[in-house]
Amino acid sequence: MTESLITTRGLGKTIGSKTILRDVSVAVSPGTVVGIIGKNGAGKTTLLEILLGFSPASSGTAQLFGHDSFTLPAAIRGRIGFVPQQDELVNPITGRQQLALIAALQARWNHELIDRLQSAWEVPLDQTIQELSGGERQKLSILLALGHEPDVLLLDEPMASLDPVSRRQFLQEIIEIASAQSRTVLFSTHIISDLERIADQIWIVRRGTVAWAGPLDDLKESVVRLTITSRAALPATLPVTAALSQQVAGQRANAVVMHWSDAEHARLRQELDADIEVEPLSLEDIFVEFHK
Amino acid sequence: MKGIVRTVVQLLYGSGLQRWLTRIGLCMTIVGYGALESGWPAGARPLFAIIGMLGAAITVISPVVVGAIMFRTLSAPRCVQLIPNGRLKLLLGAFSAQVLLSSFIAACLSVNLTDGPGAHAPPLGMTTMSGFMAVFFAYAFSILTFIFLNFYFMMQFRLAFLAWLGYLFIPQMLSHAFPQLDLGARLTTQQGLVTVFTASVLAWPLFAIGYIRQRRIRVFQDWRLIGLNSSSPRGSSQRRLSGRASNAATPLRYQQRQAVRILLMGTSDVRQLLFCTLAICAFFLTAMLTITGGNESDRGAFVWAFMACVFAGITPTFRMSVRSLRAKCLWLTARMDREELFTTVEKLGWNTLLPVAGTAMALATALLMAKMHGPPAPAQLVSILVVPLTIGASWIYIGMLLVRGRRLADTALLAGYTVLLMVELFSAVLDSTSSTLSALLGANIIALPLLRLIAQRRWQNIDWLIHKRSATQLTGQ
Repeated sequence: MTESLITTRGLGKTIGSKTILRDVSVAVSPGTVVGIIGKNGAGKTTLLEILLGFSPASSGTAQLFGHDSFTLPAAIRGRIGFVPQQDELVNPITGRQQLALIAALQARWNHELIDRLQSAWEVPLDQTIQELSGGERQKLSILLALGHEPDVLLLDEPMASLDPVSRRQFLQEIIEIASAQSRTVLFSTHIISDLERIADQIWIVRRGTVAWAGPLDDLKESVVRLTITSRAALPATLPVTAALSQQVAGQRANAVVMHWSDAEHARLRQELDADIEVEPLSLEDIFVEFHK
Repeated sequence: MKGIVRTVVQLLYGSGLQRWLTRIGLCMTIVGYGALESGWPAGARPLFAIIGMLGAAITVISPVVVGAIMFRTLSAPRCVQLIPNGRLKLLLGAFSAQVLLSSFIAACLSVNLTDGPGAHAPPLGMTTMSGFMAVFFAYAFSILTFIFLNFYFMMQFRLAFLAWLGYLFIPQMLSHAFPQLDLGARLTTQQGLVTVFTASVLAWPLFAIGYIRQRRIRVFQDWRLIGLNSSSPRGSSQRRLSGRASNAATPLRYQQRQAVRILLMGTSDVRQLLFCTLAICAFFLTAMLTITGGNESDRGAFVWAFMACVFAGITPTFRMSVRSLRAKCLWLTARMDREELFTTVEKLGWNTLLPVAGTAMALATALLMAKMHGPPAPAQLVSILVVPLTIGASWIYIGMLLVRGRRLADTALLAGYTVLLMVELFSAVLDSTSSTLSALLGANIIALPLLRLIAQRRWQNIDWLIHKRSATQLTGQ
């Protein structure tokens, strides 16, 4: 069994009277690409920042490489790359200077990789950072996070300002990094198609909890839309165990359910004396259903 | 009407710090002047008068300084032009805010004059409370209009605030060149007041014509108070930046210490920044002493030197809170522990403070020796030598301990320290050789290790999710 590289157990975060995260228990194996989706304010950034040690957990534990996140040893921190949602670049200097500054701080720096990515992504390094567009700033932030070839890469909405071409190039790079060197990548995003393209695992964050954590295929198989047609009037609440939504109108009902299986299908058909049509959902539909 | 009221609220009560200052200031004003009005014994009246005055100053300082900057920032977005009469509403809001502030100042000064301790000459022969208020309102409105419009127009340029020195020099030069005009005395006559007030009132419609018709209102990036820093700089600013960029096109290497310093300071021009601060300090000091034309009393010379030293303590350290925000990125990239981060930020604070404070001390001492008619008293000399370092160190640690978001206790601490600073200034003005000033400075020095200890403790568990601000503050120079 592979040991988990990132683990949280009963993780919670409260600031003042506001609970941002509660009871988050997840684990990530090395070499996995995890995509995190959730509405604005769901707690994605908070989760990532706690994992990086920027903030202490209010309850539970968060561990990276088997160490508590808030007291990560320096050597472990050197194995992490992070792209924040709001970049922390220094406006009055050039992109080249910013790269040189971060390179000076890191124990190792892959100049070849950075030169290659910089020319592929067309990052204008000789302009001051305040002259760069939002997308160019984001590309530069990603270069800064990749230069020291981290074992774990955490990216907080890294593709929000990238154009479709850059996004595709970036995703390709992430796939190469993850597969060739068995690196672990966690990234949050609102672009569902990107998740489907590269993520091995999906975490759906809803109101401070991880409502789903698992492989993408499992999620698609597990969450389905049911169209139920009965010979008698249906009860107001359908006897399904994990319904995300349901509408009942006389002898017909529509429902979206989680943890769907053949056994559940047979049980429901018998109980309701009804025909049940099962329809798979796209990831975007699943996301919307989770947040209804 | 709603738009106008909202603008007034935004200008007077917009930011978090402003709200706290206003609440604290109003509480102090009500307590101070309320006690004066309710007829407390004569012995307690000076104390209440001081509390009331300080409260009034704390209430108005933020809208006076920030009002015009906020107003221009609110006016800048293009969407304002899409709102029916958007700019007119903003302008009427700004005007109403100045009227409200002037009324508040006039009311406070009138209460102070009628019920405060000591005998005061009534202004312009007025004898009734409403007469006092009218005179003070006219003065306050004229001054506030002048400050507001000046700040508004200055916001296009980075070093525009230096023009304020011109306002200090020009009246001096005029009164030296044309003593027969007797400008100072003329302003305090009824005719002078009416002229100035009329000019101030007329300035608003004139300003309104230009403001409403202006096609695009721009805000210099460093002055931006709200909104993200996403637009590109234009004009001369852009040319300057491009020039700097082309010079820096060659591959670069930094030492680790150097990289840490640049990332914390938010600029690579650390020396230039230090030089500018030094030059401004020296300029202020020389300006202040020159303004008095060499005819100042010993006390006057000391007050100018003392104020320059206070300024030298505050200037290099007032951005400590932003530096502590920037330290976040070093946790991962430089692999620094929280203790190391604290020490690094603290050391950077001292490194920027020491040259500026040292220069200010040397200049202040030299000018004091030259300007005073006799050698300065030991208490005065000690004050000059102690003030910049004490105030600078206090700001370093106060800036570093404000890492828990906006908490009541922290705001109270900040307000308390500001009050202490003001009391120190008042003491220096009233009697520089008294033991009060020495005692206050002594208390300040004793408080320093405590402030450092609190800051250090907080950094051991610093929570960057709480201690965070806008992208502009993190990335701007």
